[in-house]
Amino acid sequence: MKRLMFIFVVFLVFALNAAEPEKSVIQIFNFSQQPIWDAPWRFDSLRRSSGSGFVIKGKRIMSNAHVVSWAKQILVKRYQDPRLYTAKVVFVGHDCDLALLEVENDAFFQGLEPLEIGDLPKVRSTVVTYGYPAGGEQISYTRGVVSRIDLQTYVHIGNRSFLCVQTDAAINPGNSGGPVIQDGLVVGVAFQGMQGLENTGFFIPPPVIKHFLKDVEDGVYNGFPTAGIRISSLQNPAYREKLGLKNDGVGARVDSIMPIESTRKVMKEDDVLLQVGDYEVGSDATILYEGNRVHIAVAFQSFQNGEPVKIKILRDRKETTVDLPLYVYEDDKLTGNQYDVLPRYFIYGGLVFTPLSLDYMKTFGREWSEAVNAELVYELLYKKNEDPEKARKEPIVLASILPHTINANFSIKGRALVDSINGVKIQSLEDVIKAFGKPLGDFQMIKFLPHDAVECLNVKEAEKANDEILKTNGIQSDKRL
Amino acid sequence: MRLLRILIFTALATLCSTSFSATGIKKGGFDWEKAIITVEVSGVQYDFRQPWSRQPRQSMKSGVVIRQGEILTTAQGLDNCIMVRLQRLGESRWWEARVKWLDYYANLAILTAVDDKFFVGLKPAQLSAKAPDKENLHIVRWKGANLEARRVEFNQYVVDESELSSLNCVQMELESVPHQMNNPEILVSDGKVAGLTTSKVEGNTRAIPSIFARNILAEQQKGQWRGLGYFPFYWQPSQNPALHQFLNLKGDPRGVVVIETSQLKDQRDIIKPLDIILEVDGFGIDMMGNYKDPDFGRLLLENLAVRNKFAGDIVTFKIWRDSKEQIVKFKLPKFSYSEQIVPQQVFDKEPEYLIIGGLIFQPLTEPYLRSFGNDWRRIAPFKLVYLSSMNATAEMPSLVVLSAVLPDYFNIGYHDYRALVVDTVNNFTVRNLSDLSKALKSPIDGYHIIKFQKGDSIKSIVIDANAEADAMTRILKRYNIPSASKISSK
Repeated sequence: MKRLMFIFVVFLVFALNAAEPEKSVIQIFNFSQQPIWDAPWRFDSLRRSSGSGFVIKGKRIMSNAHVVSWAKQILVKRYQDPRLYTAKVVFVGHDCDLALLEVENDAFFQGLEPLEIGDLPKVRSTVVTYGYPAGGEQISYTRGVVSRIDLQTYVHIGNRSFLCVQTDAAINPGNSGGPVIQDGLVVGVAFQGMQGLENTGFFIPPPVIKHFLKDVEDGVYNGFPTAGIRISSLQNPAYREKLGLKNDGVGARVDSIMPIESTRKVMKEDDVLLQVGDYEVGSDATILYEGNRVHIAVAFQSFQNGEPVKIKILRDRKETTVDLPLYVYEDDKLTGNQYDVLPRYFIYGGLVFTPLSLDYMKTFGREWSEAVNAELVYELLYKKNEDPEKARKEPIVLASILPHTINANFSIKGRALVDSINGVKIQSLEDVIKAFGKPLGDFQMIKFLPHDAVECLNVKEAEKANDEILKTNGIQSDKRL
Repeated sequence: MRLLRILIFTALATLCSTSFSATGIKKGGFDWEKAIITVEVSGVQYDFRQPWSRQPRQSMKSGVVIRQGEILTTAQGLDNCIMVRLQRLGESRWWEARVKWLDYYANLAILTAVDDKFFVGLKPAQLSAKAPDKENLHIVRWKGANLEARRVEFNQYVVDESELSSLNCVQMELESVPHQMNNPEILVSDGKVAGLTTSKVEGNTRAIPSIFARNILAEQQKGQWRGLGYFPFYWQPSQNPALHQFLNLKGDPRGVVVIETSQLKDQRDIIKPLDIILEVDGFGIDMMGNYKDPDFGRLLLENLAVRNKFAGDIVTFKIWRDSKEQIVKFKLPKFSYSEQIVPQQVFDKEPEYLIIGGLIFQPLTEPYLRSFGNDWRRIAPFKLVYLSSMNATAEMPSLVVLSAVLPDYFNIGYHDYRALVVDTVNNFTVRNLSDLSKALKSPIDGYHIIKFQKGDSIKSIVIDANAEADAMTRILKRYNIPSASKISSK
């Protein structure tokens, strides 16, 4: 009897959702303001954007992180209801581009049924996207076919790739965060398109959604862990033979290991991954995941931060099993897009110091990689991989110079990597502040890369000018740490 | 209608020319018809993407007779040349010629005709020993059978990288030059050669001033050409008074501050970081690094390394160090393309390469990077472009890249690898193709183990050393490659 009831309840929910899932689809308005990364005390003008979301259990709305980023005020609106309700972000995963919102007024959820998260849809199956895309005020439905399931870069953060589903259902601005429904269940969250491809939209599939929801169960969002290894295919017969493998299409090679202590303890270069968790590893560095050949990274991404994964490896021609603990890797956060945390800065003598980051580089314009000096690109994107021991934890740039007589004759005009101050190598913004506290006699000496360019400030003059510079430029504080 | 269009076009072309003569041209009292020579250069051009591949190349230049049996022109276009021919006096006959002397860094060359009769009836022109009259500058060149003279506008003198190297030297900047030019064209003023055009930079034409060429030719004529020298350190302007105070400079603000000196090698104690350069060979240096040149006005101090100075010459610096003026003598090192990890040019030799198992290895050179296209600095892999701005060191004098893979079953799994910087092969460090060739003689347990520098997309690959020879025979045949390698004996 109990079993029958369970089936009934499921059926009931299914029937309700299958009939009118649009009632649980929410329109979200975000009034946001982003910082200006090369003038980090300032904010860009207020923007109004809109996206979609849907109600899940626990009186929460699921949407994309990019729909609610940098929010000053979030308003939500129900299906065919003219009222606006205020909402707030309770959890956000900028890596996986998902967010959960809560609405302050409980009445918002009255009469709304939460949508259930389903399973990864099959390729060639039909899905319907629900949302509030641009081009009208009312809810929009688009039907499409699941075209491909693959690992894709999530463009919101820019430096992470996760499982992703491609569909030919139109996904347009405003659709973001809306549910993709199949048989009354959510099988995805619409989130991005790809320039140059027609009739192509992408949605975040259930394994990623469920990982996010499980992650926040303890009240903290940690993110997706990484294995900390660079894996390459192992298709060349000679290389396989050298490592003691048959030419049977099984096994991918650990090409290098990232500077992660826990990984370095367990893994070695030229280890061959034969099985990760439940998945046999193909020689092209893929696994067979629910009928889809996808990159092996997907096998690691099913684990939560701190969980170990059992890996069967071939090392020195012997099979062995190791437990590799997986942790969220944050040392590369400056190379991705950052959100909701205001940029750190320190101003001394009109010199504005801030961490070198992708967000800072993008202030140089769309073609930033051409406008910026190569030293900055190398330091940010290459040095950590090539020379992790010598790489700076947080490279600092002289972002700009606030004009004053004490710095008017500087040869360096900004956009320069800070090497040292008063002989102290600069590894973080805190180092900058500490180093200015120990001047060389009456002077502060700052060295920049490349070529060790040098500038000096007179300590007395700089400290006398500090307040005046801040006041003139309407800056409330000389630092944000 | 077509005839009318041709007529209109002809009329316009004539109007654009300030002077046009069918019989000869006299500018400043010199009969330029007897000195300006048309030069045709035939050579080969290599495709650095397929370094075994070549195609014929032909270009036209101008030259000027400067001494009996000697024609001055630029070095550009003379690399890998197989034939040089000359025309004189507007005649249609071609005369065989040869390169008598050439220096790519200075971008100057002297040609001579194989048959001495070529020079009969010609008259050497003089190279101006002073800066030319800026109001009276002409380009004189052969247009078919006629000599054309066009007035050009002088803009300024600049110190910048020469056309064929990163060596800095004084150059003329000109406007209103003819749209279509064969570099060099000969610039004349007051009956003397004023310069040789070399290139277009941001819409303006650059030219080598004849004073620069004259000094070099005088040195070359002594028979012991030593090459050009340079200042192998970086400096920065010193307008910031706090920097002067920090360095305790007494007197008026002046001079520039030395910063990076990593290239100085054996002369590192002579010029040091944070020295203030006050004078070079008696010329006072201002805070922006300029001196007052007696011929050209204010120029950057780099020009003092080539202003009638040559590799091995001593340059006298007055510097401010340890709170006092000091005089130091600095021996000019010879400028060479090999000073950089990625040589800027590779002239007069076939591109080097070594193919093993379909994997193409090449020295990392700028001509290789330029094979990515005109926009190579943007298109080529960032790391390689970044390396191109670095100076060679003892540990890293040069580099080898896996430039591409010729697909075959033997190298399956590696087909997409390209532009990877090699670090070691079979545990031997590889910095040039000779290193690579040597390393390949020592396979490890029947395999060649190739490791790339950290940070590239892949760190190591392995190929079967025993089966490689058979695979190579197949691959060379399939891709029509004449030889598995071309390695310079140097």
